[in-house]
Amino acid sequence: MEKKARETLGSYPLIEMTGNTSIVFGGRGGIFEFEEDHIGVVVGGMLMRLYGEALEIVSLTSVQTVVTGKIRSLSFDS
Amino acid sequence: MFIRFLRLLFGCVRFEATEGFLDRFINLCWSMEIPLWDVKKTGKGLTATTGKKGYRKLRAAAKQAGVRLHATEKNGFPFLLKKNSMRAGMIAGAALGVIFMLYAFSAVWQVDVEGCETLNASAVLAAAEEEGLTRGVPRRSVDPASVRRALVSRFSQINWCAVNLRGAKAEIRIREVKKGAGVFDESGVYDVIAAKDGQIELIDAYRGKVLVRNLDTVTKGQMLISGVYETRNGTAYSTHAAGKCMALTTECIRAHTDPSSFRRVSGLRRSTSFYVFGARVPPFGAPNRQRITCSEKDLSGSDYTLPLGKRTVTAFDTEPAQITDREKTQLLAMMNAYDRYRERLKQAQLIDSDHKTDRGEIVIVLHLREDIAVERRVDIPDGH
Repeated sequence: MEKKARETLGSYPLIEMTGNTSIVFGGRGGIFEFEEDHIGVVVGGMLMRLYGEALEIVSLTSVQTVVTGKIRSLSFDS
Repeated sequence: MFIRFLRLLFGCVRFEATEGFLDRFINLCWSMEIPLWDVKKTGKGLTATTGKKGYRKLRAAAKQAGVRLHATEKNGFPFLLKKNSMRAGMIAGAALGVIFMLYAFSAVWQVDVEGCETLNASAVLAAAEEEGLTRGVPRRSVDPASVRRALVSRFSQINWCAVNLRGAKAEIRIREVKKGAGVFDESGVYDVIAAKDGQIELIDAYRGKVLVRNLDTVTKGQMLISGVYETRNGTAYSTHAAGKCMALTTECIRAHTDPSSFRRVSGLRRSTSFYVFGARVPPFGAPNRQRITCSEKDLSGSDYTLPLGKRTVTAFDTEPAQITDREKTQLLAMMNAYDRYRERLKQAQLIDSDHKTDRGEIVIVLHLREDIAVERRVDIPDGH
C-alpha cells in the first residue's frame, strides 16, 4: 500500500491519523527527539514534530511506525 | 489478540534503557531491523519490548549508543521451557499423563446389559466376551454388529438386540420375545374340564355352556364347560368351548435326602488380586481345585464403573461326608423342597402353606389359587 501511495504521491511518505489519538507513518526514517510530551521524527526528508501528552511509540519497524497518545499538534520543518 | 498470542509463543522481553543517547539507540534499532513496541519515555530513560531474537541484537545497538540495558520481564513459551528445563520429571509426568488419558479413552472399561427378564445377564456378558467385547479391549477392535448377531443367534429368547459404544462404556440392550396367546384351533369340538380337584372361586366361559357354579367342589376330570349343548327349542350346537376357572386347590410337595449325597468342602483356598485397567495385580492365577468361584467388586459412582477393583477367587475340593445330625438332615431336605416350591409358585398364587416332617421326609402343603381349566377334544362320530 505504501508503494502504491508513493507512486501516486511522488516521493512523499504516507501519514495516516486516526482522530488525535494515533498516527501511522510508513517508510524508514529516524527519531531525533523522544520525550513524553513531544516526539521528533524524520520522515521522507522532512522533520515532523508531534506534541501532546503520554506519547508512546507503539510499534517501530522498518515498514511503519505507530505513535499513540493525546496528540495536540503536528508541525513540519524541511 | 492474535499478535499478542504470537508474541507469547515466540517469547518477548521488556527492557529498560538508561543513560547514553536514547534517540540514537532507537534509530540504530530501526536500522538494524530490531522490532520494538510499547516504547515509553520514563524519567530515567525509556522502556520498550522486543522479541527474543531482537533482544540478542540489542546489545550491539546499546553499545554503539552508549545505553545501558536492563531486562525487566521475560515472557513467553521459550523462557518457560528454559526455566523448567531442570524439571524433566514434571514434563515427563505431564507427557505420560496425556498418553495415559489417550489410552484410557481408547478402550472399553464398562459393559452393561439392559432389558434381561428371563435371560441371565451374566450369560449374555459371557457370550459377548467370546465375541471380543469385554473390559479392557480396545474400542476399535470391537465390532458391534458382529456381537449383536452372535447374541441373537445364541439366545432364542432375544427378539431385538443393540450394541452401542458410548465413550469407554459399551451398552447391550435386549428385548425378549413375548409369548403370545397361542393359535386358537377353530376346527373340532372341545369341552373344558378340571385339571385337578378344587373348589371353584370364579368360572368364566368364553364359549360353550357352563355346567358348574361358583363355590362348587369339583374333581379332576369333571366337565366344567360343555362344547355340545341344546337350546330350549331343541336345536343342538357343538363348538370349541373355552373359558377360565379360578379354583382353590391343595398340593403336597414331598422331599427327602439321600445321606450318601452329602459332601464336605476341603482344600479351601482364597486369593485376592486387584484389577487395574485390565491388568491383574498381582498376576497370579486360580489354584487347581474341583470348583472355583470368582467375585469382582469395582469402584463405581452413581452411574459409572471405574476399571479399578478387587477380584476374589475361591477354590475348593469336595469329599464324601457322613451327616448324622437329624436336624441338619431335615434342613437340607427342606432346601431341596424349596426349589420345587419356588417353581410351583411361578404358575399359581399362594394362599397359605404348612410343612411337617415325617421320618426324615419334609412335606410341604400348599393352598393355591390357580386356573384349573383345560380343554379336551370331543370325538363326534360321522353322521351326528
